[in-house]
Amino acid sequence: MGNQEGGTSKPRRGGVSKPRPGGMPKPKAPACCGMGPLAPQRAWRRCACPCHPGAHRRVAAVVLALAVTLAGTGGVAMAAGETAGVVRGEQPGLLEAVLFYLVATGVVISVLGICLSRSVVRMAVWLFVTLGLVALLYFLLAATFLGAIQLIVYVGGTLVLLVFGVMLTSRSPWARYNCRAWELYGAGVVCLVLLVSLCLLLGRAEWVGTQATTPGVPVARIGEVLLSKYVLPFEAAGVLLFIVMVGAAHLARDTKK
Amino acid sequence: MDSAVNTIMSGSEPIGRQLLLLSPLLALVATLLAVVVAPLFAGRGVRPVVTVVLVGLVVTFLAVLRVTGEVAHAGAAGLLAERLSGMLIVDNLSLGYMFILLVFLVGVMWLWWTGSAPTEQDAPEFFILLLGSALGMAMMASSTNLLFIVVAMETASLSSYAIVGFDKKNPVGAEASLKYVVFGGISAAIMLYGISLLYGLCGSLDVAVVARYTLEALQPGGANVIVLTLGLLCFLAGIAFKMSAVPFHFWCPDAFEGAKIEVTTWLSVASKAAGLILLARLALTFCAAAGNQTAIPLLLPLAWVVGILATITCTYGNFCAYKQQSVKRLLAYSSIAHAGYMMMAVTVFVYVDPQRAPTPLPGIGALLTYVVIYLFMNLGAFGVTGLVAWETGSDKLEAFTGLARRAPWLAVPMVICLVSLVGLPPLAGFIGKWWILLALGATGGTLGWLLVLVMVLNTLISLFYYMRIVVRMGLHDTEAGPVRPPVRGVVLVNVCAAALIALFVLAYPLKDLTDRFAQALYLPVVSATQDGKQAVVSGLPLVSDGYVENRRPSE
Amino acid sequence: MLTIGLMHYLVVAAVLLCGGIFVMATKRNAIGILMGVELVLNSANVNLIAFDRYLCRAGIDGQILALFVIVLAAAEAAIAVAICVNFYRVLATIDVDRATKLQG
Repeated sequence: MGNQEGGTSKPRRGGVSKPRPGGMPKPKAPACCGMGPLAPQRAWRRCACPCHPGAHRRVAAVVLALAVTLAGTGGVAMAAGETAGVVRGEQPGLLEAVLFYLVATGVVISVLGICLSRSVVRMAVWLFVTLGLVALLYFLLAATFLGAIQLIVYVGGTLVLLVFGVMLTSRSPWARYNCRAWELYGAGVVCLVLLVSLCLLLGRAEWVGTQATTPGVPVARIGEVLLSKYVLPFEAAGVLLFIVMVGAAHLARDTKK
Repeated sequence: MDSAVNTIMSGSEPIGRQLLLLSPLLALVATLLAVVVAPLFAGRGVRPVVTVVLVGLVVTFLAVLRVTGEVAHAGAAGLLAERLSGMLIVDNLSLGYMFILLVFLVGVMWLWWTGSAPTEQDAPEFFILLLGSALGMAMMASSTNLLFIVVAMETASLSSYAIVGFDKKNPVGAEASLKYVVFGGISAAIMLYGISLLYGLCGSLDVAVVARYTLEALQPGGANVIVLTLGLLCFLAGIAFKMSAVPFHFWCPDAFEGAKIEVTTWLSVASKAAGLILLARLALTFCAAAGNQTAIPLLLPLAWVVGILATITCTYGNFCAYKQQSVKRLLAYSSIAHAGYMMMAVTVFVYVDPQRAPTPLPGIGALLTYVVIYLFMNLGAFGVTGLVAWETGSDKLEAFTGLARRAPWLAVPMVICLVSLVGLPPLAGFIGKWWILLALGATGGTLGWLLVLVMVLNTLISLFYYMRIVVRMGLHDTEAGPVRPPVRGVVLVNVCAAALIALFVLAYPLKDLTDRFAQALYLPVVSATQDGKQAVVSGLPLVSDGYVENRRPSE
Repeated sequence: MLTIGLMHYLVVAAVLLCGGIFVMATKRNAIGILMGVELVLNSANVNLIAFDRYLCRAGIDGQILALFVIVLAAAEAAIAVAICVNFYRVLATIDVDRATKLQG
């Protein structure tokens, strides 16, 4: 669906866009892969052409499965956090440690997944996992409200918006944008050095009052603070969202009346 | 519910006065909403929108006037200042910036009315975004809370991204806004990481507390210097992006070239000035935290960071301007260089001892004067470029060939604006640079004299590329016929040129005026107490005779 | 090791930050770069909330800032996606390496 959109509704304005292979004239026989729609699934799984809509269904299924898993894990984590006394600010126990290490490992793996996957859709799926796991971290940090907001707004809103963006701006959502090998390795080395030095640095720093875990903040308190101390930024954020709505609507709207 | 109301009430000011102090920003928001509603009754044409905006700006102007009187009478105030320096600062500096912003908005509207208005289909959207960015910039100039700074900067940035790509059919504009949003997103994210580190170290989002903590850390044997430096540098990166200081300038030439010329003019002055005022306010807060102690020299490293950034910025901008063929892009690089000059004025604060400072503060007066003059120079230069581009269809240097013969009423103001941008007498640009040089020299420090040298050398360098345009207009000639721009545009650029001459003549009255906005500023003072917690002593403004008095007359 | 402290969360946040920077540096797709930005924002949020929980001096401000960051990230994503869509409509790509009309 999305790829058909991107593949055929080509911009016709001016001579700015280069003629693209496999465009409008022959939608039935895309020049990109040469495989018919009946080729074995394994062969066109990684194909970068708009002729295999079945691929999308698979992505959707994966995303749905992940969502269900995440929601389930979130519920379990919240319950476990409750049992482990995280929310009540009791002494941290073994359960919390196990949960933390599980989630942290997941975060590392999914961040690696984002870094190493080449197609944007794969990146989006990995980002989906990362953001969900970060929400679990918030639950473990007794910030239940923030965890819920992260799942609702970030995972449910922002990420879906990004996926929309991918679908709307790609001839095929599977299109790859490769960069040169030395860039990849150079950036990798720099980031690793940065990571190690950052960890050393933060480990050496003296954070005043560590280990004194505070109990979770009740949601009512957040609302109270938002409407008293932070009422001006709160209102300003409202105006900001309104302006953004107008700007985004103007930019994304088609020019033809 | 009661507690929320109580916090607002017990915060600092009675609720009526808080609303009064907020009224300029409220008037801007109301104008924005009126622009949304107006097309429902009067259609999407240009005329109703412009009328509504003009009425709104006049109301805002009156509100700023009223608040200025109030502040002059009863002192500066921080709104919601329950504990520390407050969420929103209303003092002479923020009000002075509001005045500049309003005048400049009218100038940009005039330019828009000349150029784009006849063919504009989406005037309401344009003005919503323009006013939105103005609102964000006004908020940037009046905050010392990290959270509010973030919200204000994002308001200014997000509407700027959209307005750069406003002309949807223009591929260059689309590319410019894409680059702008990508770089902006990256710098905002880095800034937020820095802010999170600062929060962890200081335990508060208040800049006053951060300043206090920095001073303690910078003392010999202080802890956490590296993490603190990392946090501060990341935070500074976000502000440097708004000021387009090198190395965070990548967006600036592209966005300026791709955007419509009105938008370029708007961003080149208002956005940079907002970043600079914010930087100045941060510097002031740091000085206030140092108090009258011997702690002032501890801030010298920070001043060096800003000074080096300023040096690189103006040198880089001037050298890159050389090879440009597009006048719009050349002026974009020139605006980078001018941001560097204005940053130099900020370094002066470090030498200010807030308890015994001569009022008005030397750097702020020079900075405000420079911004006022820079406003007219850029409006005039970009205005002529726009008029030539609209008539000939090109903003390249070739389009200016023989302009002295083809359109003397454009060539003369262009020459005046360019000479003023160089900073030669007898034009106002000289005055702007002169006050900054005096302020730098008056500090007597190594940094001050180095920056004086850098500024003079850069002025010499910049002479050549500005003169390229002048030579092209005056000494070369072409077969092309005369250029006949619309009269209202010609009036605008000539008004700007006249203002530049007038401001040179009226240099001292201008200085007096800007000095008026550089005194009695809101300076929160935080003192260290036992067990590392901070407690506020009071929010203290500087008052005219160099003594400190409480900001509320009732106490 | 088994007692989870502030440092554990800071390290996770550092991983998110470095991953984000890597993504911004290597991806050529504008929306890919935006995903890197989201990672860095999340790293800041993890820092903020961890500070709120583990430092006795900190209060609720970190959580409030994190809340605002989430809102601002959504707003920024909206604008950025709109700009990308517009760019694609005009130029038929969002490969930032091919955005070369403006140079010099």
